[in-house]
Amino acid sequence: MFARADVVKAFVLLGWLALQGTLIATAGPRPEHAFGFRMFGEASTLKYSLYRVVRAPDGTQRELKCDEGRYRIAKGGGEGVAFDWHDWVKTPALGTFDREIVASYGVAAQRSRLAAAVDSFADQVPADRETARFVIRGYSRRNGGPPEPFVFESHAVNP
Amino acid sequence: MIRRLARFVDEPVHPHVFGLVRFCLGVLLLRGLLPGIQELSRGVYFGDFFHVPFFPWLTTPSRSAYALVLGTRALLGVLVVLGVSARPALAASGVLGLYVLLLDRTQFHHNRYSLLLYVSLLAFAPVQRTLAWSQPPAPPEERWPIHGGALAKLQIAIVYVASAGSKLVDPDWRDGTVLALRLGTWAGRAAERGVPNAVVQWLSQPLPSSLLARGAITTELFLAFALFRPRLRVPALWIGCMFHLLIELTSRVEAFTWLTLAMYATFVTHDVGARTFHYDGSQPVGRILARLVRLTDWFRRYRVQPWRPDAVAGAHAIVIQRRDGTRATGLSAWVMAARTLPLLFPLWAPLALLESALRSGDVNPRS
Repeated sequence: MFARADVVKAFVLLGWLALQGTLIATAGPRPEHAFGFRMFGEASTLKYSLYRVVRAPDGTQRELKCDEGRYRIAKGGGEGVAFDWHDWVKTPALGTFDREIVASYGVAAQRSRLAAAVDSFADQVPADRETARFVIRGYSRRNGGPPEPFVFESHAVNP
Repeated sequence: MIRRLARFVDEPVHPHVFGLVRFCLGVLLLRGLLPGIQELSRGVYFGDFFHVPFFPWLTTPSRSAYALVLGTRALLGVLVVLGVSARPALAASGVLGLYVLLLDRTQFHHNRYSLLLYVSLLAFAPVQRTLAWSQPPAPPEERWPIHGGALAKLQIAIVYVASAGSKLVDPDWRDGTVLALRLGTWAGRAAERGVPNAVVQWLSQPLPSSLLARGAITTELFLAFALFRPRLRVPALWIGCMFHLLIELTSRVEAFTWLTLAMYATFVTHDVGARTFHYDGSQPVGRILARLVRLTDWFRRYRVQPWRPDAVAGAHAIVIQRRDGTRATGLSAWVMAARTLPLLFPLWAPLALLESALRSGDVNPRS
């Protein structure tokens, strides 16, 4: 027979192995493969731009590029109101527009974060009655491969 | 099987080494808190801006609550460094740290997660007994069961296996593409740190990068296995040190290098005061070396003593008496010093190779 203390210790050890094994085995679907210890998993890059979709008086929609993540809407004949993506998104990797940058923690991580960021940005511009929604267009290159385009649209701004 | 696993968790260790690791992890915990403290002091709180919690149900604290969490973590870090209520402080640091880590996946980094895992596991290891405020050093013969320290050691192997496994299944990793691109990306950083650009450029070529990639995968798998084999442990520790220092030179990995090197200490043999460093007190060089050994003997392996002159000592400034009582002078003494003193450890393999080629300095060669 085994001492009860020995069984507990063996159980804790095997439990820890099982927990870590599970976290590592299930890291794939998590965009940044968190808890999976996939060190230096990719050497990928991505490039993206921010656009806003505005409604014209005739009801049509057009896309306007927001240079460096900034734009301005006319209001009351003055200078208008300025909006800046970086006022809401502080992570440098998610606010570097129009330049190919390293996709830290892989393409899936950065794409997923960009999709979440553009969606949440739509909630941060209550004073903007002109923009219908935001769009991020870009491409990623997985490990130096060919460009793979992506488009992420936000939900409606001030619906 | 159960007894074997229990023995692994019950391995008797001297508490000094774990006290040292606790101190290092405490410093790393405090270092990791600095950016958050600096941001908060500038009025920036990540919870006020875009962030992505790991779980939608995880509530982001208010700014003042976060400041309280950060302050508590800093206080716990200080307690860990000082060794005051070290085990509860480590456990609380781990729990609070994991909570903050889960609040924002855009700030997730493997090294931060690893630190929190090690911190949590070492809360159940004999870390409180030495290098602690108001605690006298543990005597050489004192032994405690390793407990959580065994899981921390196992965790190091888990990290290596997971890392190597993910590379093995990725054809871009196996053929060197990822490594070549990464070397190209970080060439500037490597150059800043003294790595010649020509070397980086050459390593980025297909054949060298492919060999390097396979070498990296093999090294990780080797380390996961060899760190636990007594005969391979010292070479594995040396290879691991070189591996991580090379990564530090060529990549940006936050504190991962220093974290891993600190955790490597859990693998060293726990033999406090088992060797003697004899020096010639009449020679300045002997006195200087004795002082250096006292300063750098972080594992407390040496008793440092001026010798009583004898036939062996006559022509040497230092003589090292090994664990088994044999004595070494000259190059052999330097090999022993490099093997046992952490700061000199990077020199161990080249010196050992030189010694084996010259076969010099062993006063009592072992059979």
